[in-house]
Amino acid sequence: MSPDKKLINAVDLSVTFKVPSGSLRAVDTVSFYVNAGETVAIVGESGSGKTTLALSLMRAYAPTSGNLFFEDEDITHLSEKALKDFRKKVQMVFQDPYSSLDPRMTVSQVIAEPLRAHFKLSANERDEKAGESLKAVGLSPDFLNRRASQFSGGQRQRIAIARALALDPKVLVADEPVSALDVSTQAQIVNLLQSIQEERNISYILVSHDLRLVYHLATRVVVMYLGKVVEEGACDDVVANPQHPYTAALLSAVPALDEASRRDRIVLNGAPPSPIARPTGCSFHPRCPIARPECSTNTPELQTMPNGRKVACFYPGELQPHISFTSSK
Amino acid sequence: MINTATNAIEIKNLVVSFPTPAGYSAVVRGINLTINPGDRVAIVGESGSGKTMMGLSMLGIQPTAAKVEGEILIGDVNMVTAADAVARKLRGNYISMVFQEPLTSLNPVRTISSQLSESVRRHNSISKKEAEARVLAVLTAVGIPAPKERMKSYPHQLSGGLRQRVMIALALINKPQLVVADEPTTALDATIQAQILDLLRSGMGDAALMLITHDLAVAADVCNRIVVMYAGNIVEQGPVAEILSNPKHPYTRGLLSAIPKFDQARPALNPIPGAPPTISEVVPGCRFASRCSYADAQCTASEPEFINNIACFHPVTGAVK
Repeated sequence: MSPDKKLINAVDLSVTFKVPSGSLRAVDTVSFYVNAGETVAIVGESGSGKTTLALSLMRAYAPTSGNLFFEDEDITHLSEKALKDFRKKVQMVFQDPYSSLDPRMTVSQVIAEPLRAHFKLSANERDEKAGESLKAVGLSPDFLNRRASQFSGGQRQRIAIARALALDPKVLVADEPVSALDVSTQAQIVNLLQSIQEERNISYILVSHDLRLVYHLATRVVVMYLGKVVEEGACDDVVANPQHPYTAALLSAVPALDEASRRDRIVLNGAPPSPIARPTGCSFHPRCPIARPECSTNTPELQTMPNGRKVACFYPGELQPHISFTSSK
Repeated sequence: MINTATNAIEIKNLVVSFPTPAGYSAVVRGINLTINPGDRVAIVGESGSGKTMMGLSMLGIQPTAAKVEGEILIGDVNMVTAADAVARKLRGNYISMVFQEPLTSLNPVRTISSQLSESVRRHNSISKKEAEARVLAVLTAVGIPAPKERMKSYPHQLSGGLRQRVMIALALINKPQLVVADEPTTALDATIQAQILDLLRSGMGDAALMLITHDLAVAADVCNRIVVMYAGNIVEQGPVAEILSNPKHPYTRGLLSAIPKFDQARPALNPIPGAPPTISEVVPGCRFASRCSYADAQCTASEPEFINNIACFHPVTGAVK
């Protein structure tokens, strides 16, 4: 497989929900792709559409318009039956392992469930596969007969990852995979996700609000605001030199251990507006520290810059956060 | 009635325990802590460290099953033994609390103004009009835009950030000596968290702040002193700069090195192996020993006392990489 082979590829994808006061466009004409073996992070605040985008990339939501391709096959309108192979190849890890695992099921039942849905295996074969999956996440196969409720948060998230890996997927969608965990166990799961990727060349779609984590894990980052992509690019590049003022503010908002980052913090006014009552012009202009009059009337398109970076702003690069980089090299 | 003391609050040998099949198990295991006027102290620890239970018992609002022993002194009143009527007079007046999730802590069927006025009038004999003037003043002070209009709003009509500002206003309205804030920004978005951290750092007036958090970066952002708790004990405390630049307890060091940083080399993270002991687990010696790379026979044989701001037989020096 060539390194730049697009596994999931969404073109101008929109997802609209009906609400009492009309319609809510949670994802608005978003193009997104993930190559084999890479990690793409979707970043944004609540209401930005990041989770809806991730779920629609899995065809958990049917897109209202646009197209979704998996390995070059158009799966936008495929039936659930025809999607079965796709479901096997794209798996998910949820935020909270206390609610994503049935506490009454044994670990073996939890991990065998997807195997049962997709393969005709004997009970012994399933147990063997489940045991292998457990080993891959650093847990002993002896745990197979215990119940999920007997495990700590970090162990549960390992079990959830083992369940997702049981089908040997090509893409793993992880929605805030460590934010429900304690700091000391977060690092265990982050390292585990990295080593799994190295071993299996699996692609990750990482949904997260934690930009330190995103910087650590992702190769590319997509920043969303009110359903639209406002910036996209190589992770190193976006963090070192954000072009959109919203990206700059998000980076600046990361709680910092150093004084300088705190002193020069960009603090935005207000909260993101409701996607039902979208501001005119650039959606970000009511909160933007560098907005000009034209920003409230004209809508900036997502433009591709010479280095491949994409940004939807009339004044890219003007606002820069203070970030203290370290280098352990 | 209450002697305004020099200390905002003094905790002496606080033990909070819960009944288990094997008898009472302590989640807070003998804590001593003094918070002075104007202090901003962060209590940092993971889930199960006892930090929230300590905060709740300081206000006397711990779960009914909990057994609280020791002293929590506010002026000359010991909250542990105080009569209900006395504790009620102190709560919301001398000591108040900000919770993690403002939507579940505010009454959904009453306006902001009526909830804040209630707290003012409970502790002061003033007219409705005077109370409303104070509500308006405090809403303005915590940075709520168009406060006059917002007074008439119900909690669900406000955004998460505004609701948390209302919670902080409610905590501040009677000019308390101490505000206990339990993970006040965990439920908020990144840019809103930055706003609330600003408010906690510089908008609390004369009130001392005790910030309960699992995030060392949040602690460093807001506070001037950090108290690190592990499995019911304080294991280390000190000024923020010192804890960050020269942490001595292996657990504090572990927490610091586990956080991902903007490190261009992207080295593998350094997790702390294992998990904290459960509430009913009997641990001989240091409760961190099983996860500690410096532990030796002494650590598993006896429990280190908290002396000179640290509870460790083998304190480490130097910055964490």
